Amino acid sequence: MSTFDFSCDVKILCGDHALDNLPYELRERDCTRPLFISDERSYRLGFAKEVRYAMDNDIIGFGATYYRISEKASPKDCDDIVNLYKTHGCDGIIALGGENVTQCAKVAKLMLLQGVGDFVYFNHKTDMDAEKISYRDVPLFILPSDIPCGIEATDRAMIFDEKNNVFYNFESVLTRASVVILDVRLTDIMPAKAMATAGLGALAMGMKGFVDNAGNPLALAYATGAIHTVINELLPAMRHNSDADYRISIYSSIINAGIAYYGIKESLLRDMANELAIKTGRSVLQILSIIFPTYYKEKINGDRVFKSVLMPLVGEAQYAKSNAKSRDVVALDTVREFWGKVIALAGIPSRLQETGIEQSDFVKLADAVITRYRGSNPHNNFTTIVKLLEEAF
Amino acid sequence: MKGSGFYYEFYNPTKVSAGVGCLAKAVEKLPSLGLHNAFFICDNVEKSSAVDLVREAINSVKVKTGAVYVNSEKVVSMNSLREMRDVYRLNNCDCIVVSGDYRVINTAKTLRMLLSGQVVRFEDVKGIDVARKKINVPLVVIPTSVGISNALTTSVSVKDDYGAVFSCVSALCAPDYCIIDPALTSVFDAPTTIAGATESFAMNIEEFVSKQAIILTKCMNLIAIREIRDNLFKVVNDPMDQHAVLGLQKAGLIAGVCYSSASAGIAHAMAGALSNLTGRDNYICTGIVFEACMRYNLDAAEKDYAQALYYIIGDDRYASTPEQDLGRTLIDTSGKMIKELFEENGLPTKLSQIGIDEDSLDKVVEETMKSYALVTNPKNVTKDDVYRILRSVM
Amino acid sequence: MYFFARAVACCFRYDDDFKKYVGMLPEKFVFRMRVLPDGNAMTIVKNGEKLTVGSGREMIVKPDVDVCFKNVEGALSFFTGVKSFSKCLAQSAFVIYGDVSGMMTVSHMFDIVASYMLFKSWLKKYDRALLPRTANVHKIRFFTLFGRF
Repeated sequence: MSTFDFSCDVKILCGDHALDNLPYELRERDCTRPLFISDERSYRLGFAKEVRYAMDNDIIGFGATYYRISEKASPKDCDDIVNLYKTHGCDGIIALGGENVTQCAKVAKLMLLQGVGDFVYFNHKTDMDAEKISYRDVPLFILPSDIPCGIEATDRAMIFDEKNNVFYNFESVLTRASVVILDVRLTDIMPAKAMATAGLGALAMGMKGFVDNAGNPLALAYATGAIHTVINELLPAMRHNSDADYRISIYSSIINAGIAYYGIKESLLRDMANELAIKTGRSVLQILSIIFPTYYKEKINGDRVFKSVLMPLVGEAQYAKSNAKSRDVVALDTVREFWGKVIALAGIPSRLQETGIEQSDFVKLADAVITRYRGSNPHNNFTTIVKLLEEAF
Repeated sequence: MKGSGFYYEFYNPTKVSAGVGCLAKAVEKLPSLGLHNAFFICDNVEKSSAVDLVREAINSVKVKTGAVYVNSEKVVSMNSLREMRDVYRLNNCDCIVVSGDYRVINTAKTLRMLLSGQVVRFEDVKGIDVARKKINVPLVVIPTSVGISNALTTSVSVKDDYGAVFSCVSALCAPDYCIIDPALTSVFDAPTTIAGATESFAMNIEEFVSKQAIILTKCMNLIAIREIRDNLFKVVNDPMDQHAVLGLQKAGLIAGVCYSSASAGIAHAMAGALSNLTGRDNYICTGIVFEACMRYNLDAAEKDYAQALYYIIGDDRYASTPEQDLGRTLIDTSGKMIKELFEENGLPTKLSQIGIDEDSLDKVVEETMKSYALVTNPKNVTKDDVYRILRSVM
Repeated sequence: MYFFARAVACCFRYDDDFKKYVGMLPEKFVFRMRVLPDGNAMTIVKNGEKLTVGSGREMIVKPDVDVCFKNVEGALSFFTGVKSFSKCLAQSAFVIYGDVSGMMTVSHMFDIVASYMLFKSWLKKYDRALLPRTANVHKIRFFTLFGRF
């Protein structure tokens, strides 16, 4: 199919002293009283101070600050952000932190634009209004200070309401960030394990994004870039984990991969990864790093698109010399070999059983995937899900 | 991404819908985007049925096109912009919809920047990243030609009241929505199509080797180069092959998206200077100088050329080409391809054929050295280099 | 910025290539460089054969080209020779008001200034290959530091 849609209206600033451009970007959006939100971890590690220093030389101050976002994003955090925003008359949001802060900030933006005062309003409803060019904006600046989750530059936000056991998966342009800033000063030395998980998660998202976006050159480019970066820079990043350049490379590849991955309309891999993440309490990247080689084992079979995924994995010279008929098999072998190397070096889980999942959970998990994502992906198949879980166990 | 001092910004504010026959479905979204009364800008109405198709599609979703402006200036003038601004306001329009080739898209982008920034004098927005959005004026671009590399760039050219042409770069110039439907390129003009594809190819190569290229833009450029290789000759042989036309348009789209981040290089600078001085289209000037510029950049961009070559010659030839010859082979192959296509279609291949002689070289060199596209060229360009290149294609 | 301004004045006095580039600018040309939102500024004013460098405080005419660094860090990278003017432009370190064609000539002028001001070890890491110096580098550095020439 040659028809495609693509939209990613997020400005990405990445690299040396990227954070110093924050005041300028705020001024450009007429944002003079931003609400600065973060979590305990970022505050403790001194990242919040870095943001304050970046704002020091400028005339813009914070409208309000809030450093108590919980470790796992929750509806209460979203309500708190919205209340603070309104109470202090803020005109933008700066979100510094990991996945928890990012998700809360995006949902809070959605609530502010929809005029929703309380999360209870959503009440199992996740389909939002159609996109509008002419809506008023709440500028949202995302500053990842932990491993990004991939959702930063997308039109998605996810919150799991533990109390009511409801998973909210918002897909709306109203959750879109204005700017994402990746600066080495907002990152810390990552243990090899964490880097490995992040990299493999990015690789999984990149491959899924590549295979499912064959007709969309823009999304394909994001996926290809992510795969290429991970394959070439993950192992050096793990070995030299104090090198900030490698770190930022891997982080930016997660963001790029996320743009391709979360842009796919229907995805069993994504639905399974989300569900397993809820079940195990681990991040989506961690789950993807475990299940994706199994997922692709059944998918190749001479698939033309899968053959071309070999290109970013090995480069043009090797690709040209490879046997055209067996490129899909070589691609999968290359991925598995790389995956094995990374797992061995980092000592991270490689099977689902290591995450606490038991075989008796399979049926419930499969049911949950089908039920929860029925609206967005009616083609999820019980047998396929159980088979994949068994293979990955 | 190594070394201190590395930094990049990437921003593509345009939503893209592309595909054969996608126009009808894509315009359905317009009312929900808050658009009700479009100021419609197009080029020569009589020549093209594409414009009628676009208007019909827009009207069918209850978006009015009460105000229609026909524009075909190569570089829009301040007078025309003032006229359009007045018509826009008089008709209480709430968005701009443009359908046509690169000229009329340039016009619409400039108008949008003026209206959205509530600019009184254009002098106030001359420069780079100067214009600021004060009100929302959505811009929908529906190209009807193959060469659409400038549709998504953040730069525009304007002729001031004294006839001087100057550029302006701003995120406000990028459209909100771009609908690419090859069914609209119904009038096939081989020379224009080939020249458009050549410019798109040249831009993608230059962006690929640019000093400011990042992995993301590089991947995009390689995809674009492959699209051109796969589809250019298909379109030449069968102009009605809409999938092939779409492939070329995708390549142009990518060139436009990457331009704002990676920028271009010496060929783009030279082509701009030649185009301003001779009045010929940018793509024709690009086709004349491109091979010589690639050769000039070879020692600084050899590795990148070697990588890009695969997407032009494919598996067998790439595998059998010695590694040290890969870069040169790209130049020879693409130079030969462009030259043959240009000659077969009556397009000029030498500067003398577009009215440039030894006496006018000084002016061309001066204009080239003023272009900020040189900033990201892989090699530092001097005046002597520019003279040498121009003389080699005289 | 203060020393940079002095270096520009010195180069105009002693370097022939620099003078050629100044000659390419319009007869009356005003260039300003400053740091947003309200930081220091430096001006270069060409009036016929004369070139004056100032602090920008006495600015009474609108500059033909006004280069505004987005933040102090960006300006610091340029004035300490970490990044060239061209690299700053490529990385969107500043906003430019005015006709960008005049700015490219100024960029070449600044490259010449950098070739005198930066030591050999710094030049190796510089992001542009600079042309060899034609004037006496010690003279230019001395007069830049001590202001008398």
